[in-house]
Amino acid sequence: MNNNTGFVVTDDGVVVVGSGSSYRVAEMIADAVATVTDAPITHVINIGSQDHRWLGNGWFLEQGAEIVALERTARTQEEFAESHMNRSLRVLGEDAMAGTEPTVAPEPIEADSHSLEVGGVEFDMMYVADAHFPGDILLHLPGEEVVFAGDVVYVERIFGIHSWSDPAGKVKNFQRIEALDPEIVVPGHGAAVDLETARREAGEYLERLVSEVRAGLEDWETLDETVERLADWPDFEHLLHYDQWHRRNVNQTYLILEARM
Amino acid sequence: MKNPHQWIPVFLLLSLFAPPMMAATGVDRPIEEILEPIALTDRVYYFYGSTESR
Ligand SMILES: [Zn+2]
Repeated sequence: MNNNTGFVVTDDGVVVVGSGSSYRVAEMIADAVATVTDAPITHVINIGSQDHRWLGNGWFLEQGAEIVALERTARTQEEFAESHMNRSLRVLGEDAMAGTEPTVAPEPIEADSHSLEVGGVEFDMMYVADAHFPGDILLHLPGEEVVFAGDVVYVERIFGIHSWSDPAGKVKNFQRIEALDPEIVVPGHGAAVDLETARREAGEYLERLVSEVRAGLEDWETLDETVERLADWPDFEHLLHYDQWHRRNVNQTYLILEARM
Repeated sequence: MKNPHQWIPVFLLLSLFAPPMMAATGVDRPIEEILEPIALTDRVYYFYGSTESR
């Protein structure tokens, strides 16, 4: 399990945030929840479309939980379902994926934001812009002062910009998190942190990446020139996977922003 | 107190035996450890996944 998931114990049951990478992991999540409370899991909120955020949906649905997702998120899940299943089968193996059927929310919500109240806890689901995947959302629990940021925020490790990511959208998402001003940010990967740490480890990198690449494009720099100019960022070298991802991120961000100019 | 510099060669030596992929794959932890709920508030918990990249 290489991503964060979470759960919230309300007065009327448990709300799980992210269903895990497989049928089997979903069951393990439920077992872990049971070490904290006997209350049943009533809802599972999907905040993203990467394999490890939703491939466990099927198990929870079988147990009678409601899967809550915005239409945009569900649509991306459907689009990527086959490739994510193939990749998981290849990387994790048939055994690990046994029982896993890509299952999107049966009744996704056709709106860009949705609030639900479960047992005295308010959950605000908000789509700000496409981020790591199209249709990624933030989940704000105003009463708890917690934001589940999903793959908008990574701490400890660098994030990867993929061809389907929207780096400028990620910046907008990060700015929204700052406006929400939570006490705690639960990143998609890496330990839960305060806002300041999230800014230092992810927000600043994101903003700098987008603004520097944009400046290069405006100056008619070639891809190679931009990658060369931004090749080394000592401020972020401490992040895990920096060597593997930083230059790729500059490269990918250039291509994505160029296509939108 | 020992001179901390004496330790440097030991770490250098150890690093020779460290798996070379460590930096590239991140630090993984057993799933049992990952699936220990960490309380953030009275109601909110999370599972701190490994930082491995895949
Ligand atoms: Zn992720």
